[in-house]
Amino acid sequence: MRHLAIVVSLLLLTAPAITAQESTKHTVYPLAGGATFEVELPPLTLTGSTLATNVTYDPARQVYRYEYTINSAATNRASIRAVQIDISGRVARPQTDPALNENVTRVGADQPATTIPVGITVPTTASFWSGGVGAGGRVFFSTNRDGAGVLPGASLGGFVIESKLPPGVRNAEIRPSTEVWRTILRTHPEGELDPPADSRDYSLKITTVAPSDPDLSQLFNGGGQSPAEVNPFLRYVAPTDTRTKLPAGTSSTWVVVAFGTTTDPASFTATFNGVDVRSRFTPVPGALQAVQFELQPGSNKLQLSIEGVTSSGRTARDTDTLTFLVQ
Amino acid sequence: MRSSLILALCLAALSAVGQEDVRPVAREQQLIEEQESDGSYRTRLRWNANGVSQYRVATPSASAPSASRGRLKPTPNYEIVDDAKVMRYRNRSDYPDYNAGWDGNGIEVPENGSVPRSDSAVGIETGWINGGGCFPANPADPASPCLTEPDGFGGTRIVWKQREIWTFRMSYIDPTNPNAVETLVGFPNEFGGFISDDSLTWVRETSAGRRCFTFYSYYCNTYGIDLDYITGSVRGFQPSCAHKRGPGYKAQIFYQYSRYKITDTIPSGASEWEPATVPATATRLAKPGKVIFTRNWEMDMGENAVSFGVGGPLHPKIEAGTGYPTAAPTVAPATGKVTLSAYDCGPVPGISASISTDFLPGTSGHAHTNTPSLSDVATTPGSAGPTDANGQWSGNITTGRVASKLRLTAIGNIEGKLFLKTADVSVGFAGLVDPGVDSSGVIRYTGQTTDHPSNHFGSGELHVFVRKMATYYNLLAADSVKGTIGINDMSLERGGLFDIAGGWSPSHVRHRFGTDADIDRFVQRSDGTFVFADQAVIEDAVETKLDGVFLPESGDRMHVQVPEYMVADILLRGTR
Repeated sequence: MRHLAIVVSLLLLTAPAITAQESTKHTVYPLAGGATFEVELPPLTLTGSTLATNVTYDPARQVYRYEYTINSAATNRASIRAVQIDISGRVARPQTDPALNENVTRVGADQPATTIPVGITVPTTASFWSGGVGAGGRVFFSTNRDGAGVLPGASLGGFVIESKLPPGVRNAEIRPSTEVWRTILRTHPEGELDPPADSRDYSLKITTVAPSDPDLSQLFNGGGQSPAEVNPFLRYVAPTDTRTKLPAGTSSTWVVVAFGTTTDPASFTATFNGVDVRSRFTPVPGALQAVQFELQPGSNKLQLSIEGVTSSGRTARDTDTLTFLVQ
Repeated sequence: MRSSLILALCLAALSAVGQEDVRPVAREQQLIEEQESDGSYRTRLRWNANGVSQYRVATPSASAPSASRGRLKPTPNYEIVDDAKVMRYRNRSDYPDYNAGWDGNGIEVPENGSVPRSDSAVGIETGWINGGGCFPANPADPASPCLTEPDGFGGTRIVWKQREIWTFRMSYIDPTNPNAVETLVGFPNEFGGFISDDSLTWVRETSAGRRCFTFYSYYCNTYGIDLDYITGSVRGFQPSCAHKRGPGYKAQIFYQYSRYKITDTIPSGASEWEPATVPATATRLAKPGKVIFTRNWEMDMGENAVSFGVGGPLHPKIEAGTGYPTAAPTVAPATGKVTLSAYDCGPVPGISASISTDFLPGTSGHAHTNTPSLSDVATTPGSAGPTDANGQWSGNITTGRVASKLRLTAIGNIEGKLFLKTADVSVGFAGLVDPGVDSSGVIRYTGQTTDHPSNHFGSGELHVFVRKMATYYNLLAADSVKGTIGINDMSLERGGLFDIAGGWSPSHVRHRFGTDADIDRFVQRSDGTFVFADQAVIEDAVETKLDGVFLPESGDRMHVQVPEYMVADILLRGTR
């Protein structure tokens, strides 16, 4: 099987700052009645953790391969026990595809029918980790064994999603283990906590690249060229306009480009803020590619250009300039 | 075993029956002949429903006319009507339907009693009415002996009553007008238009020589039966806004008898009927004979002239911090309408009432009978009114956090008459169910208490959720900790505050509308023994496979919640 590597991107993901670094106090209402008491639970901080993504495309199988590595920050106060990545789609599809590699045993099939069909692989070296698709249409990699999570300062790679659908910018969540809380709470009488011990307060909500289900007929064409049939040589899932305003502090952005079926990869050029970034792309006619760019404050310009053949047989060039304005 | 033969007959054909005094009755009727198990026949007359007058017929003899044509004991007395009374019928279904074996559910109106204009009907009911007897020697004295006359053979023979007629009347004379004209108010024909007295006639000889009430003569003649009595009768009319309120209404039954057949020539100077009919005057109706029953009554305003209601059901509020940061960080209290309406053949403005509110204990899943602060259930107005020009008033009721029932009682008066109206309002979330423990063997119900015996009401989503959680747990956990998961408190029957201690104070802050459940720390294995549940497995099943929420609690207890994207749907359903 010929496997064509397209791009490797190390993704340093931004995460919302978790301010709850201190222990939290919870009032316990004993089930047996009697006086309430307080317990103190440490934060399950995961700030700084990342999910690195490596996306490749196998034109022979027409399968995208998304490989993930969980990087647990050394400053974490809990181990990482799960990662969930949104793969919801637009239309209903069969949820199993034997052409997609998978090494997990699925438990249940609760996801919506519009979930993108995927194959899931977890590293064989990672004990007690499993994968699947949850009820909300999210791929998960998780462990259900205390002590098997990704400890602070450690990394665990080899998590793979295979899909026939192209990359897109998707929401993801990195979840902490509550083992430390449960260990503390186990020593107290049965009771209810107020406020509840909710690990969602410490989950990292991030974006990553994963299978997406864009309407390929509606992609943004980058504008600029005429005749109009030249414009679609390069089209984009992201961004969706030639000028994109981003909030202050944004450090990176994703570009997901679709190469026209008549394009010539050898003619492709790419510069980012004047620097040749051609090597970060591997154009494949008819395929999509996701690349993440580090941004600097102010204006950032990405220029992509490629030749293709029009319906009349004439060769033409589509050149798009995409501006990212970090405010 | 009874066979039934239904002969559909139309009384329109009666016009051709004969010369007897057959009063035209344009009603379709059926004679039903039912064979009893002993072979005898029982005959019933079925009157179709559009007629307001009905006669209840027992089992007239189907045998050949007997040799004795008279009654066993010649009695010249006026024929009284048994158990005559004025009856009011609140609803149409209260009106008798003798054909269906239904004697009605009327309310007797006493002398000078009142009949609300909202009633479906008011009428005259009777029990038995007998026909026959001899003609008295002194027609003015019914107690006198039977009249006899020469039989042409040197002897005498008894003179029999040949005809009798009972006239039923409902009339009205406006007591406020000294010149008021007496008018009929009952009874309409079957089309509801023409108003006339209702009358019942018995004849000694039909055209076929049968003794019979004339409404039945076709059957007496056709089947050779005599009908000397009926066991009951009723006729009525529907009060309406056309009927003036107040006294002046009168029910009467008149009685007359005659020694002459309808075909006889009345001798000169003789009176056809005894007592003779007193002719009508300019202001009074004719009096067809002796009054054998009379009852005065008055028309009152409708029973529903004042209506009082509370819109609902209404959902409780949920305070902040209940665990649904996206879908429902809080649930605002519901606001419903309390309405007072006064209408009696037109709006009645200016009506007011005081409102008292009572908690109905033992409702909505709270078996403890201590009373919460009423405002914890709902804040209600203390008074209603006055009604506006349209006879309407409305106020607001705003819910609290407790699901339960309240009874609002409005007391006031309308035109000097006291009214007391109650309306119940149910505060609670809709759509919560308790399907019970199924046979899957992966869950068991726990946590029922005397205060809250039914603690497993929840949304359908929650019930599915906990079953899947338990199923996945048993697929993924180590064999040594597999078993049934203890499903503890979910929500109460109508949700709202789940005061675990029964004191109406919050504790189960997240058990309000069927989205959450507590999970016991112990799993019961198949051998009946208990072991601690593997919480990491439950956490993983809940959070990653089911996208729900897992909250560890003190003492190894757990709390789970359906995915937050389900909460909005559940809440929308629950607050409808």
